[in-house]
Amino acid sequence: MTMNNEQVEPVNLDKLISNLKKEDEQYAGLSKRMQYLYWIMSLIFIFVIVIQIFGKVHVVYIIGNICFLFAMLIFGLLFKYYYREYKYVDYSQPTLVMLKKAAYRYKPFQLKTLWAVLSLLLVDAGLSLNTSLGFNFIWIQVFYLGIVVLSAIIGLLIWRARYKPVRDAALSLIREIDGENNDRGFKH
Amino acid sequence: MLDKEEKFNQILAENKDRIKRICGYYNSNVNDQKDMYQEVLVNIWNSLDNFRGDSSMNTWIYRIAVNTALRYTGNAYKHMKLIVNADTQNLSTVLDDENYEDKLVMEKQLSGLQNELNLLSVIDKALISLMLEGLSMKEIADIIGITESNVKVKIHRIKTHLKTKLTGQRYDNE
Repeated sequence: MTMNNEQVEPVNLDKLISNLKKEDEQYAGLSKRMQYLYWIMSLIFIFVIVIQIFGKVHVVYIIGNICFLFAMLIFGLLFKYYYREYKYVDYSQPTLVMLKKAAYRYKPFQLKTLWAVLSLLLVDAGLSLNTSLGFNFIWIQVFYLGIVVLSAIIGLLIWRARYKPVRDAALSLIREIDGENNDRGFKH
Repeated sequence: MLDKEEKFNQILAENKDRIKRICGYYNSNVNDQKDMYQEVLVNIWNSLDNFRGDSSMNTWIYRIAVNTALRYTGNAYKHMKLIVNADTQNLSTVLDDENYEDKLVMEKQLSGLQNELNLLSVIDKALISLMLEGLSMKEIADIIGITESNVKVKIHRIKTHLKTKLTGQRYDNE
């Protein structure tokens, strides 16, 4: 080991801690704001649904708003549970566990993706059923689903360029750690 | 009860040198060492909320340092270097033989060792860096997340390989 540790210029600790604390506060603030937004939107939809029920509005409109409400709730819960998981990697886990979690995190299709798909379909159903919004059913499918599919394609391209190499590297390290009974450890 | 900042400062005060040493293993360049050191500190801060005392503080710190080293170079894992020098305290344990120590301090052989170490895979480099820190097989196993016997097998294989390469002799693998 090089003993040039003494040459390492000291990090400005006060500044670092202050930045880290600021980031923690920003995270907590953003997380809270997003959750408040989802819960407020949900309450508004509940309020509208209740008014519609007592106002003898057509049942299809009510179902449309219930779809919006569930979509909002699913988005809110997904954000609450997964934002931190994606923002911060826990480096204090055993290396093998960390790598396996990284490989899973960068998997393009996961079980929780289905929840996001479900909420997108609920928004589609909400837009389609709530004809009071004045949207044409066919155009909703063309534009809304078109935008969803296009976003998914762009997301996959970004994943392929940025995250697939990270996932491949993590998988390769996992194979190396797990494969103790072969000689892959040496690059010869 | 210590708040997060006090806990962080306490951990840093007790482990600063250890973290710097680990950073030194993976970077020959002082600026890179400094960047990685800062990266480790950030990861310690972000992992502090998850520390429940299930593992010792030593193991916890080494995990963060090694995991940061693995992630530090991003996709360029394979370019990660392991830097050793003659004054590395536990260098003789790599070859398991007191007689080699004198030879190793000779620049030529040290350079050979350096080259061979850098031909090792990333995980093997991480294992060697922990061994150079004087950690037990059990501690290394806790850090990497594999069994103690698995660590022994891997380190034995690395040592055998290095001996073979440095002495030019053939050592039979088990």
